[in-house]
Amino acid sequence: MSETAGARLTRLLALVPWLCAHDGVTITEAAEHFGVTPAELERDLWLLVVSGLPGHGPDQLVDIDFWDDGVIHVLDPQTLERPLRLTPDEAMALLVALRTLAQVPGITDRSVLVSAAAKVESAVEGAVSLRDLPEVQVLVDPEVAHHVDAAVVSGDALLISYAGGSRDDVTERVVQPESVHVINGVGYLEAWCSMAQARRTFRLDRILSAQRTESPDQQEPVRDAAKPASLEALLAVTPEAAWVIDTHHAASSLGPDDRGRQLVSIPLHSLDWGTRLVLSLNGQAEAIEPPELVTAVASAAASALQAYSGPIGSGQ
Amino acid sequence: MADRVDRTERLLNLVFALMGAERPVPRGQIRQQVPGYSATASDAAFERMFERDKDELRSMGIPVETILDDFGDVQGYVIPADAYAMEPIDLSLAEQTAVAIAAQVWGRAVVAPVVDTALRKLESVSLDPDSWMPSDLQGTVQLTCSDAALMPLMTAIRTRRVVTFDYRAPSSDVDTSRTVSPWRLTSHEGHWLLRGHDHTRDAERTFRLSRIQGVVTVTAQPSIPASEEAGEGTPTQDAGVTARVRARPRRGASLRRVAVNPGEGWREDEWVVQVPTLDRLVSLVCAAGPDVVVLEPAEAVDAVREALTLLVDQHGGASA
Repeated sequence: MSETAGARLTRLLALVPWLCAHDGVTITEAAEHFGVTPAELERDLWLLVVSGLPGHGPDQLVDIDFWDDGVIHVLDPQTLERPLRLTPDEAMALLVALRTLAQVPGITDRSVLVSAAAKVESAVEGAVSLRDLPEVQVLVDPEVAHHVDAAVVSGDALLISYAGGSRDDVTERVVQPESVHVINGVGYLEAWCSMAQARRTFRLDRILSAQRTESPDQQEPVRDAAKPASLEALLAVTPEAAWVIDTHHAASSLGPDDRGRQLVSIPLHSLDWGTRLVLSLNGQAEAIEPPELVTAVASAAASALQAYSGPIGSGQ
Repeated sequence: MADRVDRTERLLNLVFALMGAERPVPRGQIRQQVPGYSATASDAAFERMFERDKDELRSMGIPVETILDDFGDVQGYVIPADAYAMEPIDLSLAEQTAVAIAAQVWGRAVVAPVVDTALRKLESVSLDPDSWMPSDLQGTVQLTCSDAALMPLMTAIRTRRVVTFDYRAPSSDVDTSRTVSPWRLTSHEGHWLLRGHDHTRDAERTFRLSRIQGVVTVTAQPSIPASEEAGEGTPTQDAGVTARVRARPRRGASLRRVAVNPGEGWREDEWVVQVPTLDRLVSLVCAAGPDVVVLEPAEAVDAVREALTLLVDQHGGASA
C-alpha cells in the first residue's frame, strides 16, 4: 500500500467520531465517504478493534460492531469520540476556497461565506494568518463585476464591450447572462449572445465595460472565424521559446529537427489564432505546416513591416 | 506477533497510551506497554523510533506534550484530551453548505485529501449533510493544482521556515538547487507562483510551482520576513517597459488591455502601454500584425522591425 502511516492514522482518527455521529451506516457507505475501498475500510475497523489502552483488558478496547450485514455501530469509542481539532493546513485549504468563492460575481449571499470563514479561522485559534493564505486572483474589473453581479441576480440583459475572440478585436454585444463560474482564478460568464445568436462563454477579465440594457433581442449576427482545413499546426521552436510547450498544454513535442529546434504539434483553433501565435514568438518559432499558416504568417509580417519603412510616428 | 506491528498500529496505540493519561507516561513505560516498541533490539533503536513517531503525531496536529520534572528532566509524555479534541463549531445551515461546497472547490487537486479530512471532522461535530441547502455556489469555482509543492510551501509560509528545492528555470534545462524564504503563493490564470527571497541568488524571486522538481524540504531554519511590497499585487508585476503604440480602431485588444491608463486604451487609437519585458512587448506588437505599430522608444521599434524581418525571411515572404 502506498498510503503513509500518517495518512492512514489521520483517517482512523477521523473515522471513529464520524461513525459515532452516523450510527448504522454500512461499510460500503463509509468507504465511499472516506474515499477508500470497502476492503480497506474493513481493515481499518479491524485495526481499531484490536487497539486500545495499554494492558488491553476487554473494557479498554475500542468496540465496534460491524458483523451484521456490514452495518457499523460504535459501542465504545474509548478516547476517540471527538475528532482531532482542525489542523492549520486543513483550515488554510478551506479558507482559500471560501475566499475564492466570495470573489465570484453573481453570488447572492456573500456574507455567509465571510461568516463561515471567520468560524473556521477561529477554530484554529490564530494559527493561520490571513496574510499567509495562498491567493487566487479572480481577474475582473470591479465595476464590471458589479454589473454582472446585478444582472445575474435580476435577469437583466447587459451591453458589453468585449476584447476577446480569435481576431483580437473589440466588439459590442448585448448578452443575457445565465451564470458565472471561476476556474483557477479565471472568471467566465455564460450568456446568450445576441450577436452570435448562440450561447457563448465570455472571460470576465476581457469584458471592458458592461451596462444594463433593456433590449436583449435583435442584433446583426456575425460570422465566426474561418476554420482552418488542418486541425494541427507543426512548429519548429528554439530552446528559448520552449515554454510554449508549458503554456499550451495540448502541445506535443515530436523531438528535435536537424537544426536543434523542437518540433511541436499544436491544435490549430483558427488560422488567425495560429498566425498570431507564431508572430508572438518573435521569430523563435517557425511555422512548418499547414502551408496556409506559413503563407498567412509571411503576409501578416510583411504587411506589418511596411509601417516601419518610413519615419515612425508620422502616420501609417 | 508483536514484532510485526505495522507503523499505523504502533502510532494508534501510542495515541491511546498518551491520550488523557492521568500522569505523564515515562519513556520506559511506553517502550514496555505500547505494542510495536517492546520488540526493539536496542535502546538506541527505540529512541530513534519513538522520536520519529512523536514528530509524526505532532505533524498531524496531535498535541503530544513533553512534561518536565522539577529538575528539568523529561518526566513523561501526555496528550491532553482537551487540546486534542475539536470543539463543535456553531455553523448555521447556510454556513454548513458553504463549507461543504468550499471543500469541493479543490476537486482532485493535491490539497483535496487535506480538505476531505477537514470535512469529515466537521461532519462529526457540526455538519449535517442531510440538511444542506441548495445553493447557487455549487460548482461555481474550481481550483486545480497538481504540483506536489503546494502543501509543503503553504506549511512553510505559515510556520515561517526556509525551504529547499530543485528548480528548472525557463531558460535552461538544468536543475539548480535553491534555498528560499517563502513569502506568498498566488494562483494566476491557472499557474501557481511562489514569491520569496532566494538565498542562493540573494534576491527576491518568483518561482513557478510547475518548475519545481522533486521534493520541497521544509527546513528548521526561520525564514527572513517578506519585504513591504512583496505581499501586494501580482508577483510578476515588475516595473517593465513602457512604450507608445498606435492601432487601427477597435483592434489590438491585447495591447489595449495593458494600457497604462485603461480608459485611454479603450477610447483612443494611440496610447501608452506597460509590459514586464521588451521581449513581451515585441511579442504583443508582432502578434497584432498590421493592426498595431509601436512608435517609441526607438529600441522597441528596432526590436519589432528585426523580429518581423526574421519572420518574413523564415516564412519565405517574397512580398517584403
